[in-house]
Amino acid sequence: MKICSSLRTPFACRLPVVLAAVVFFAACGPRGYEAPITKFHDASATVIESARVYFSELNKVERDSYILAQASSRAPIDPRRISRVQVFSQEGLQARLEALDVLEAYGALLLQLAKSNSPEKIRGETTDLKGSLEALSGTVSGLTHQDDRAFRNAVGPVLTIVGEVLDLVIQHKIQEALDSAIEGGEAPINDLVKLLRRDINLAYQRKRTALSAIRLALVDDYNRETQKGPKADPDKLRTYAERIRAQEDRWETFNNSNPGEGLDAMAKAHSALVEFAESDKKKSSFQDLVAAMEDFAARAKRVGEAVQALRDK
Amino acid sequence: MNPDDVITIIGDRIVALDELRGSFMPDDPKRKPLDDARQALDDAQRELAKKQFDENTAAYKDATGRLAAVNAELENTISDIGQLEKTIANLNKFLAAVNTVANAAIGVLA
Repeated sequence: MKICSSLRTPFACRLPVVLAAVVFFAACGPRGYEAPITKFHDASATVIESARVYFSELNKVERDSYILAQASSRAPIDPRRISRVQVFSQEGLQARLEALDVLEAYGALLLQLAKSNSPEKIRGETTDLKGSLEALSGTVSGLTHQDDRAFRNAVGPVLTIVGEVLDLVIQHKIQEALDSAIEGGEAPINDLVKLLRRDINLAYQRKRTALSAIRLALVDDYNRETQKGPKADPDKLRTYAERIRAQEDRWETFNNSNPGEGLDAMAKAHSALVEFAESDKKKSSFQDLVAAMEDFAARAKRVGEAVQALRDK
Repeated sequence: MNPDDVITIIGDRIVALDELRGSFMPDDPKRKPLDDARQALDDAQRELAKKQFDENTAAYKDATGRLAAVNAELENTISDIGQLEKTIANLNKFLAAVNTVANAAIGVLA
């Protein structure tokens, strides 16, 4: 089990799980979902926010990369090429950001369903989710590229299951809504997460390519100055060296910040939640659930911190 | 090899290529073919990112199989400045393999 891999004795290894189980069952509401869903929701929010940063920046990364490459090779900049180098259309990008909104609102609704039997107390989450669904539905139906079937195919079932859950909530069938959300939502939600994972990885890889180009451009600046021999300007050399140092720090942080890893852990944690619900909350499934949630929370934390560090630099 | 892996592998080779380029001054004639290959790989990675693939087609499987083989050859030489000529030849083979994968696409993303 991953959460105890650093501990040596079998007892020491089992201890955290046992303690977590005690804490978990004590914290569980009557339906037993509250603690794992709280953790799932918190970690999901971190991963979704990190993914949102990458999607939002994707086209900017491409623009900046093109401009920098032209400047480095001392070539002219063609404004028409700036729009051609972008990966997603504005509508495609919007659809992905809205899909993240739906996942976030869905997690918030699950959390409130697990905490409360009162439809009045979850009115806000219901309204938010409904708004996110309507926005995504509108954007997806307006996608101009007919070939983007995979995204549409992944979004359709999510719109259906989440719509059904909302109907149950409106009918005050809270327990049924919660069960339906967790059990019926597994495949659609995980398929959407998988698709977003693919898209976020390409956003991450494109940023990696751009950052790698910046690393070299900075080294080139420094080396060009050293080529001047005794006439090299020491102030310029210090400035260039400082830029290289800062970029290498950024590069190191960046290599720990792929939100795709967080989305993988999110899909696994979601499946563990479903397994727990389907097993009638047996202890063995609960231990798997604790492990999956711990793994998810740890990955989400690492990715979230790295993305935050990149934004602060 | 899924499309995610293809994008990642191209990224890995671009990073290695940038490190190799950094071993030469920007105006060194030996650097020119490396700069050209970098530009071509960057363009290819971006274009592949926009495409959709069916991993079950024979064309996709053949193309990614070839890419994996060429990638292994390139990986063996790219970090060795003493094998520059071989690396340039491997880069050209790698680019051709990437283009074959691009031709196996079934559509483009939104």
